[in-house]
Formats: sequence, structure tokens, C-alpha cells
Amino acid sequence: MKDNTMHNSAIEPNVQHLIEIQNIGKDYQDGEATVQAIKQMDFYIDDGEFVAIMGQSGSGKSTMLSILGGLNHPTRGRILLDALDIYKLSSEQRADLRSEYIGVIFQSFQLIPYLTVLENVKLPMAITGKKAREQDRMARDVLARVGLANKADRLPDQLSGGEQERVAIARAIVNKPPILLADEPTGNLDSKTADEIMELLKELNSEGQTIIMVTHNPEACKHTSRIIQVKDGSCSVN
Amino acid sequence: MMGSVNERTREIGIFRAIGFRRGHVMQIILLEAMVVGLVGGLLGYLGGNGIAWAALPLVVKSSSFAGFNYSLGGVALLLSVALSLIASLYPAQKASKLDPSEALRAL
Repeated sequence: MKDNTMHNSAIEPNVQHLIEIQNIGKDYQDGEATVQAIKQMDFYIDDGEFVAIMGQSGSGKSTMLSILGGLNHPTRGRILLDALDIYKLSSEQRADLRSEYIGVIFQSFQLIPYLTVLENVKLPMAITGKKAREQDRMARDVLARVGLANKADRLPDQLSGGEQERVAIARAIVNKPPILLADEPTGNLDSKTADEIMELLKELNSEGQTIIMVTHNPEACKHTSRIIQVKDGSCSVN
Repeated sequence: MMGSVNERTREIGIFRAIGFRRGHVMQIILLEAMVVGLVGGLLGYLGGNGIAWAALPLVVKSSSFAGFNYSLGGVALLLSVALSLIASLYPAQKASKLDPSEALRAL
């Protein structure tokens, strides 16, 4: 069977991409039946890109993001990050990889409710061995970067949705990961706040941050450099 | 500790997603168990002595409180911490093995 959904890095072996997604597939077991969340996906991401993965809910785009984030073992295929096959690593090595290389902005922020904004942002540094003072400085720097310098001591539920999103972004970038993943970053926000968040992501991208964003909202895609359309577990690259 | 682990599945998922190793999650749960054991042991020791002091006149006539037995207190604390740790081993193990993507539902 000839596959024509893909035009990708596999045909250009001399070009090294930041991330290569090769023949990825993911099946789920639903009782007796096997459900294919991802049939086959092939694409690549280059350093410094701002890519949108777009599709309806249930299209497999969030599954793809969690596979990219090293959180979800694919059934088939492989993910190469700087030519490193990340699912060949042990789960502890993959945890280290997430800590160093990948920042994630979750759909519903996923802040820890009993920790202050500052503590939430410091969380990813807790396992890096940085000195307490250095952690404090970096967390405050990144909070200032997202415009929340004066809310460091609040608890998450004392903030608006847009502000919580900013905390989530701050936490995702505090370790300066080369890759930032965002799952529907504008999903829970009104359109004005959503625009502000997209502006912030675009600024981060123009400073060199590679961003991969999953969304079903065409509005959110107008800032991105490339769109990968996902439908029924397959993708096409524009 | 088992209940605490179940309640905090999502939280553990977040920890794992931002790069905490299984070992880190184990550490968090066991450290918490140690603190609970220490505080529980201390309260138990003090509470027990308090009750003994208050109840003594009701049981025996004309006798005075025997005073704190510190070595007994030390043993009680150690036992309490040890028990708490032992009881937490399985939940901690279970917590560290949670699949991060499942713990977070969609990512």
C-alpha cells in the first residue's frame, strides 16, 4: 500500500530536524475492540518554529502532543529529538528529558492549588539541583517576563483565568527548555485574553523558543508559522 | 497514605510531566509519611502522658504523676515513624508507577 499522506524528513536524510515524527501510531484497547487514536503521522519540527497542530476533538491531536512530550508511549513508530529516539530511553531517563528539554502548558493549567504562584513556578527547578537563591531569582525573572511580578505570593485561585495561564506558561519555560508544548492554550479564555496569550507566545517564539501548540481554534493559528492538520488520526502538512 | 495518593493522582501526574523521576515521587510521599509519623508519635506521647496525669487521681489515692519517661518517648516516636513509613511504602510505590499521561487524563 502506498502512503501519500506524508512528505517528510525521512526522504531528506541529510537534513537534521529538531524533532522528527516517524510513522507514529497509537492504539487504545476499548474492551474487545482496538481503537486507533492515531493511524499514522509523519512530520518534523525545526528549531525556532511555531507550529499549530489543528483538528477537531477526537482527531488524535492531544494524543500526539502527549507522545511528543514523552508522556505516552506510541504503539508504532518513533520520535527523534535531536536524533535521539526518546521512547528507547528508560522512563527515568525520559523524566530527565522532560525536565531539561520540554516545557508543557496544560489545557486546564494544572497548577498546584495549595502552592503560591512563585512556588508553582519554582516546582520544575526543585529537581535540578539549582541553589535556592538562584531558583528564586529565575522564578521571579520569568514571572516578570509574563507580567505577573506583583502576584508572586498569590494562590492560583486568587487569579483570573488569563493570569493562571500566564503562571502555567512561566512554569513551562522556567527551566529554559528548547521545546514548549501547549495544549489548547486559549481553550478556557475569552477572546481578548486569548489574544493576549497568543501575543505572549508569539513574543517567546520570536526570542527563539520553539513552540508546538494543539488547537481547534483557527483564530489561534494566525500567529503560527506552520499548521499541521490532523483528521481521523492522520495528518497533512501545509 | 493510600487515600492521599488516590486523591492526588492528578498532582502526581503533574510532577511526573514536568520531569520528576519515579524516585522523586517516592521521596515526596515517604517524606510526608515521616512527618505524619513524627507529629503523630509526638502528639500520642504527650497526649498519653497528659491522660495518665489527669486520670491518676481517679484510680489511685494519694499518688503523684510519675513524670515523663524519655527513653520510652524516644522508642514511641521511632516506632511511629517506622510504622508510618512501612505503611506508606506500597502507596508510594503505586504513586511512582502512575502513568503520567493517564494521571492527567488528556495530557
